[in-house]
Amino acid sequence: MDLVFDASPEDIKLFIQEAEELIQQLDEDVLRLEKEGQNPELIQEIFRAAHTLKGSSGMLGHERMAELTHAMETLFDKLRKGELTVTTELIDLFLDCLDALKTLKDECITLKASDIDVKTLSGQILAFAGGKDAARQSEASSSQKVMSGGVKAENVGNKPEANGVALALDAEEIDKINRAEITGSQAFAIKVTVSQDCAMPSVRLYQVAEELQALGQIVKTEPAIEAIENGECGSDIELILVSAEDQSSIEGVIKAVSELSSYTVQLYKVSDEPGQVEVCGLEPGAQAVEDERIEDLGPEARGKSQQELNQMRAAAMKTVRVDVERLDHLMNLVGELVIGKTRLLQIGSELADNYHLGDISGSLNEVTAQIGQITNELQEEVMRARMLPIEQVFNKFPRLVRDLARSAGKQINFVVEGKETEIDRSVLEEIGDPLIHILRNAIDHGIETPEERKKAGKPAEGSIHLAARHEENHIVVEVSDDGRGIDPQKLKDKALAKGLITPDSAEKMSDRDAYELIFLSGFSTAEKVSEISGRGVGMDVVRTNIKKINGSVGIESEVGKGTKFIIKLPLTLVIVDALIVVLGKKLYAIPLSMVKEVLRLEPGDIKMVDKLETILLRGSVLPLLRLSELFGQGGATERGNSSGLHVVVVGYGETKVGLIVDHLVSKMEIMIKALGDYLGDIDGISGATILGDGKVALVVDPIALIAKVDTQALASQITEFAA
Amino acid sequence: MGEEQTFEQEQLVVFEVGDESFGIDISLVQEIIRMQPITEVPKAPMYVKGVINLRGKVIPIIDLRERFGFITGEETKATRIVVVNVLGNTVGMIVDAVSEVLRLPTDAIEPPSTIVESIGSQYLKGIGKLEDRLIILLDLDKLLMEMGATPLNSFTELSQVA
Repeated sequence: MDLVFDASPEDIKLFIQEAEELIQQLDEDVLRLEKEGQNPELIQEIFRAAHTLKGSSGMLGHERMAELTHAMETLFDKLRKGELTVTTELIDLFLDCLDALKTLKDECITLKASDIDVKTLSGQILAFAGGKDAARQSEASSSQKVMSGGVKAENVGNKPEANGVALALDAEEIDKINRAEITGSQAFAIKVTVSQDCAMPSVRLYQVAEELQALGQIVKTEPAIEAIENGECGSDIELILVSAEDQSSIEGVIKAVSELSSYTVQLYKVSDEPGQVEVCGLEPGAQAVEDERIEDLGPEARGKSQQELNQMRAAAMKTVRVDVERLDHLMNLVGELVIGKTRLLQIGSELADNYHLGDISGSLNEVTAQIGQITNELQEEVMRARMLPIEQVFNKFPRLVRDLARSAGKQINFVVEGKETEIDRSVLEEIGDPLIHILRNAIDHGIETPEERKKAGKPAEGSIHLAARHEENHIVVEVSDDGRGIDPQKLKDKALAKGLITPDSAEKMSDRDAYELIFLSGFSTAEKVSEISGRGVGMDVVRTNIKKINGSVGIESEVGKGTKFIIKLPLTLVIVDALIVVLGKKLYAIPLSMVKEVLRLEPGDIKMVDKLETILLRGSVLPLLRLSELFGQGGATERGNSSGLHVVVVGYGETKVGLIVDHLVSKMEIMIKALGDYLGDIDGISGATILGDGKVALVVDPIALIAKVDTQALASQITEFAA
Repeated sequence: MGEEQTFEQEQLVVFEVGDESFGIDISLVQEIIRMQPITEVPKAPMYVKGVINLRGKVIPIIDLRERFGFITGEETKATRIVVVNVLGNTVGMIVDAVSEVLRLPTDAIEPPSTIVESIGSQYLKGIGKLEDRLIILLDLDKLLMEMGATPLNSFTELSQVA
């Protein structure tokens, strides 16, 4: 079935975003609820989120979603009132509902009805909430749809001047009111009479209508606005206003209009009985309890949430939601600008060197410098605009960990730190999957079963820490568990059995190198393949994915104590500082973030170990790679070159490799462009960039190059050096 | 052509590689540019000459001569790069010359099924017959996307068969 929503595509987009955020928040809150139990503040928060979701789904006309959230809200209300206690079954039910909500939300994207059975779910919820209540609820929800026709005006007001307001509403108008109620607004019946001596009553009445219009939506007026505009009216007006404001502020607005003799503002209520509409005087305490569809919070709490809502609205006014594609495009343009700037600088210096232009050259430099400054600031701002708190990814994990832990029969305390750490959204998009994989591994292989843990003298509940922080020019994400740790010997045995390494190299391999085995493709430590992890695709995918975004991943582990994965991520992917080097006649760019230092060697410094050229750098062995040979570029530096060799040392952590290049050119900001699907992954090259002169330079991928220096050779080197 | 009006037509860009005329659907052609300095990409397949900067975009360039297994010819004044958009990829193809844009009635195209099965036929959409000329219609989707470097040295025979 195709769904049609009574909203513009923009509104639907906004709704989807809002719903996603709210569902996410509910997800987190429900999990917190499971942990913290009967926490009134938390329940209130959950209630509010559910209520907002109900409101916005109702506004959009997503009836099934509104129905489900309405049912959930009822349950939260019971919790709040202490009529229900938090149980695992309840949490499970909530989580099921949230999953259903996610699917329902997706309906707004696909515009196709999903097979979610809202009726059954809300039935379950209401069964939870208690039989009697269930009956009342379903009655109430069904009554929302049937109202039309006859109107009964009833005045229970206690104000002496309150004359009954009797307006006939058609189905559409009643529907408007119903929807408004779902969003937390209320309908008011308002009657205003202009004083006898007023010269132009129609003007005053029009003014009243106009002022009220600003507070909300006027559903109906008697006489009609057009009639008032034309002066075809008496001295009074009756109208129904739907507004989120409270009664006193509406009264305040009316009071401000002069020459009025009397006015009444009453809460207007569409009757529960089909075909009936009633108006009742505002008796705050009693009424709010009566009508659960409007607001269950009571006047005080409502006022508060209303205030908060207003604050939120004010905050929302200051921010603009921007399409991600626009930001990407903006970033691209800034990248081009950076290239242009570099080129301008180059031309400027060429002019200054080759021609004696004096003043003109000076002013060119001045302008170039200024443009450079602006470009830098622009770049920084655009980058900042693209930054998002890592929260966006992290928030999904508590649920994941809970579910996985339950199905694996493990008890896990999951702690998240540094959620607020900001990171470029392109990086953000890429780290979700690797992190999920690492978390799965930790739950499946890392954390032991409660029995095993008790035997090992550990608390039955294992813990997994997920932390993010800023470190120099990187974001560091760590996943650590207090599980059984990784046994390097087991890894080696496994790798041997799979024929990934030779017995000889296994013997020489250090523990640190052994951990690296995990990242080899076709390596999985799981002794039995479980549903959660160990499906053959393993940690190699993690490393590949992280590598793709110029990040790195390392492992620290201790048998019996736990394992820690350390992921280093760049702040942004698009524009990076790079060292430009020459190989033969071609220019290559090496990302500066990977460059540790630059050395100048005499050919005599090089020692051959196992067919691998190495040098001794401050006491440790540094393997060397001749880039020009690797990339098959002619014109490589001859070994006897008198000017010595230029070596760029690249690496992360303790892993380093020296790249021999012909010349160093300069440090430059480059914008990395993908080589495209057509060329695919080229070993050792991560992309291309356009230099100031319009030429294309390839960007070296140091991580891939480091991977070339295989651990076996390294291990044997170390032994030989030691010998 | 001209006397016999056919409604079903294909508009082709015709270019020369070696001694053969090849045709590709004009809608795939983004632009035709002159030769320019190409940055070599190490370890790419032989026929991938490298990448160029096309107004801020880095695009790969392949040499159709090498792709088809012809002897690499000299770069001449007529040498062009035909930039095509295939399946979301922008790729430049070096050709010896771009000769013309022409309309070919659909019924003048022999489907590849009638052509003797041989290496290379998978990259053909058919052979276009135009007066005394034969134009080999390339299936760029397959030619460019299948990175398998099958040398297509049997084109000459193929066109004779057709």
